[in-house]
Amino acid sequence: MNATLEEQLTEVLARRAAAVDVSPDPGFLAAPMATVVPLASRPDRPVLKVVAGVAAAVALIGGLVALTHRPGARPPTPGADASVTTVVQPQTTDVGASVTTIVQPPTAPLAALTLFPVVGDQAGAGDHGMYSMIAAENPAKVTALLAKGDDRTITDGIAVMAVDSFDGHEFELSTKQEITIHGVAATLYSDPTGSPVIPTVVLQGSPIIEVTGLDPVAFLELAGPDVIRALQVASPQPGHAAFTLGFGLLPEGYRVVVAPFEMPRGSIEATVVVGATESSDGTFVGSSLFNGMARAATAGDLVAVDINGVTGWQLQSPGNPVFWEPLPGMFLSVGGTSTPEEALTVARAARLVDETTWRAFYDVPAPEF
Amino acid sequence: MATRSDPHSPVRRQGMARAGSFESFYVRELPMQLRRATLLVGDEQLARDLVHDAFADVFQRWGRLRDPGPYLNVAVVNRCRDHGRKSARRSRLDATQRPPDQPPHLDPLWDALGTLPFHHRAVLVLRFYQQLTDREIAETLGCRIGSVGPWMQRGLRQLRKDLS
Repeated sequence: MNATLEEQLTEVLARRAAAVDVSPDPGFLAAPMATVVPLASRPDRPVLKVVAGVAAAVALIGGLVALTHRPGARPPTPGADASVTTVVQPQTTDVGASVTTIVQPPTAPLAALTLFPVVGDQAGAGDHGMYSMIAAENPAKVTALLAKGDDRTITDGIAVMAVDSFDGHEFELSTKQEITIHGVAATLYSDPTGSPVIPTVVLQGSPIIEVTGLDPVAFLELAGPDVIRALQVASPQPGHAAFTLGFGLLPEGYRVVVAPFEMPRGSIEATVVVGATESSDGTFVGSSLFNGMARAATAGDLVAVDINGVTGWQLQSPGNPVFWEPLPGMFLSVGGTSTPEEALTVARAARLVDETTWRAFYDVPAPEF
Repeated sequence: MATRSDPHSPVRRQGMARAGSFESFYVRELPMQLRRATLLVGDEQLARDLVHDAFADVFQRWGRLRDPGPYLNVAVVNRCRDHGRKSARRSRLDATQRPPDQPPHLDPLWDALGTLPFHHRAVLVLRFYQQLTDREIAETLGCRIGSVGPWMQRGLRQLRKDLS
């Protein structure tokens, strides 16, 4: 053979790569967790003692928030938080403390995923479906999205999250900076390596509030000191958070784009991979009770798109994932495509079916959780 | 094999992960990361550990990373590089992992590749396995773009010498 060195190198690398076992490590995602143990540094490698599984993974996913409850805080701006029904006895305390009691919880989350995506008339060789279980063990968490824009665009997204426990492990590799905003002590987490970590301001309290966005400090400084409020739910449903979020007068141009919502504990997420090949990971279509748009908006602008008559939103950043809500409280997303157009094509081709049909379509085994 | 237009390209992968869960991201990214890390360190089991360490790093930052894909790429490559430094020796590719259908005449090349300094081997893997451009290689390795060409030439020169 008269192959050049470069050609031989290409061939040997491809052959070696093809021989690698690329199967997922079941222990990595399935373990119920709490901490991550560096694997390569351990003498006995085999068992990945990861600390977190899918459940905790999702618990960390949206991460964000911050909030302030202060003396003299103004009551929520009418209409700013559609999820809050009746406000009773507003109190004001210090940052992070629960203050206001509301009679009714915010929009009741769906109890279970009922719509599952399928793409095409039949599953192709590179297609498969899988379950994810999320929010099983994660702390109570309420998420909302504040942003600028109109019915065609969403910009300057600020994700706000209230949680009942703070996972400092999540930030341990970030730069930690103690700051003061409107006289309130807060902690700013960012990344020291210049990688695209989205900055987060954390205000300790009960609940803890995290605010994430391209510049959460500027947002909070621009807003009043009581712009974000933790509201106590008078009669929380079992398994649901005893608090929710309310918002005061937002900075000019901002509005509540995604009202506070809660990820039901124990709920599942369904993901479909379409068109995966040896050299391509395929396109991903996800179905979840978590509105992924709430965190995606912190990474770039979103523009409205039509998904078979339903208004969806497409991120104007590399990857161009699409998010839409075909049923109240049920969220779909498409990602992993080469072009924005491809993402839309897949989104519009996705059909929503019941779980039994979905499992049969992709031959998905029963979940083990 | 991955090409520049494949999803293997870190350029193409940017931002994709945010559309799905961490599990989806893990399942999607794992194959390419395992293959590339194995080519970089020459040991499949070690590569698996390093890759999962990197995934654990990403997991800790999930939701904070605007583009987890590029972050993961760098995290994996850095671990592969650091492993070589810590061991204070050049990784030697494990000849026992030879695929059964591997033409015998190609094995000396595989073995010779394992004797190269990390950056020389890395640019060859990223160019001839992933078909990345000089710019993409520089971004992945965190080096100056001007270093890519010289490292590649030195690596090829050494391979020719070893195989002659």
